[in-house]
Amino acid sequence: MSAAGSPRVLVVDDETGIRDGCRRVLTSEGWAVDTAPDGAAGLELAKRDHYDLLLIDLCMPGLSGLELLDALHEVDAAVVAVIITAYASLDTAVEATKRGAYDYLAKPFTPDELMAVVTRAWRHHLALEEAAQLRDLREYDMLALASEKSRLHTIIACMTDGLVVINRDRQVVLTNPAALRLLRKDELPVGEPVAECVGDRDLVELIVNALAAGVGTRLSRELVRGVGEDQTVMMATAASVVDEAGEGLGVIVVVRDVTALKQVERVKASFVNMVAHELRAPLGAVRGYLDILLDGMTSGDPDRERHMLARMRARTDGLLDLVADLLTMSRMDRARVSRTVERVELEEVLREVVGLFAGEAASRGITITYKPLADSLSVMADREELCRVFTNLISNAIKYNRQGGAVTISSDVVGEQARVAVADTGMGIPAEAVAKLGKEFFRVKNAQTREIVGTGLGLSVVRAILEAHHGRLEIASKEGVGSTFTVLLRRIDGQRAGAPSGGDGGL
Amino acid sequence: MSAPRTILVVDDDVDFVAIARASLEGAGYRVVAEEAAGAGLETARREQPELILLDLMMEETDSGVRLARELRREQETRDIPIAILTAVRQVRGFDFAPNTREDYDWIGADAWVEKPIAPAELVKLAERLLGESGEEKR
Repeated sequence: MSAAGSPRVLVVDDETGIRDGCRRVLTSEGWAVDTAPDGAAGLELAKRDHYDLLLIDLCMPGLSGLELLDALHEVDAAVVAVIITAYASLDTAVEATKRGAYDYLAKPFTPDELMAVVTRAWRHHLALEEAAQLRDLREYDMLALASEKSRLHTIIACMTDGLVVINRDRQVVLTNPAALRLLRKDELPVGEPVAECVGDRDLVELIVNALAAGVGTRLSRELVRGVGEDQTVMMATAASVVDEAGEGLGVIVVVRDVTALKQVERVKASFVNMVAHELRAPLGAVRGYLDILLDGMTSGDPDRERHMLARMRARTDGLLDLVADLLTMSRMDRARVSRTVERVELEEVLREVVGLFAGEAASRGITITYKPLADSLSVMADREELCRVFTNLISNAIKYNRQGGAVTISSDVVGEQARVAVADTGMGIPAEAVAKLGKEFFRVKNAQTREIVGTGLGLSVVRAILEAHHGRLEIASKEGVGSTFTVLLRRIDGQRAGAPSGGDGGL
Repeated sequence: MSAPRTILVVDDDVDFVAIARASLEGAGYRVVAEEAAGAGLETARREQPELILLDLMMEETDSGVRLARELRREQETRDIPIAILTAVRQVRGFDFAPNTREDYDWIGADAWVEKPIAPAELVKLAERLLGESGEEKR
């Protein structure tokens, strides 16, 4: 289409009257009109400029209309020309259109007849242009498609999920490297029947079922390769592929490695199992005592009854501790969102926690001492979680201590680290058990720990909290002498917020 | 029945021992308790109980099973009925619960009971095992 929007016409005729008449009519209709008195001049103009439409007189001296038409077609194969002829006959019209003219116009013609023909020709011209544009677009699409194809190929090759495409004859059509790796195959040759090359009865069955089920099918199945450490658990999902008529074309199988997910699932399931058992034991004991007391099986001995009630209280306290530890652990799981890390003064936290245990320590004749460092010691931590760490450590130091023993809490600085030690004078931990401490529900079982009620989670919680704070726990112990649990956390420099800055001499 | 029949309880769970003692004594039995598997064999020889209640998991995860097998090997204790009590079924990747008669025979226990067990149930268990042994052995 011409840039200006008005169609450009070239009129080639040796008759001045026709040239002028056409110019007048077409110009009044908004067309841009050029004229040429003979074929040679017309060709010259057409070569120099683009015309949307040509009106050519058939009979001209020199270059005839048909010769000009041929010459024009060599310049532009898509040129739209209308032949003007004084002696319209079927023969000339047929001849002209055969040679590539779009239409003909018989002389003499009225302005309306002229407009009818050129308008038709103009529409034809527009249609041709549109077709050309579409063709260009198609060619462009093919090019895009070619690069798209290589992109798809790259994407499929780089997928972490395995992909296997199978046709309705149960032959392999396409695979990617992940599929070979997951199915542990060197190759899955295209055209090979799946039953013979996949080597997994479950997968073959899945494919056969998906093919048989047809339209809209999505079937999943767990596949296992290898054993023990080498085991891979996969989830294979087969989706049927159908054509427009709903005819089954084949199946697309996506194989995903779910080994890690399965592991997490197993750990969670075993944790729930352990928790259930840890809850059941104390509940069973409390319930047993209740039965004895309520059914009068104590023969009314008040000392025995009191002892049973005391045990019930101890086991119930243990349950409450267990629930508190479980809640802390579940909080730890969510902590990435809910942990409030702020500047915490270790001295404040330690004083607060030590205070909580004064009564319990006194009732067992245990001396609890806190030796703070002279300077303030701050860490970045979640205050509540930090309290939990020291609560669990000091609670253990009292629980596993001897009657009349001592618990000493001290803090100091080691390089970049703040160090808090909780030392007891208790039974100590057997060397082989130290490594297992902090493993969920692990408890040292021996004659001395028999009556101590513990959750088996306390140190797990301590370890998990310290890990989340990039700190660590060190354990030193000597059987029969005592244990020292040392917490190491990165300290932050500077003075206590709001405290005077010493001799620093500000303004 | 003149002298009370003796039941040996071997368990390191102080609460279980206290509950077992109270309920079984309440039912008219004499209860001797040991808190470690190691002392179990010696006490069984000395006391000649008519029934032994063993905890499966004491110092070691299979202390109860080992003690049961030892008791079965010894001339003086081999005929005493044994019940193994456990709370560790399927915990810690460890499942010692027998399923077939052969399993029971191998371990040498006459009953396998899951803890916690209600005091009344424990008394019923003792009565059943003592009754059985009474019929078979006399």
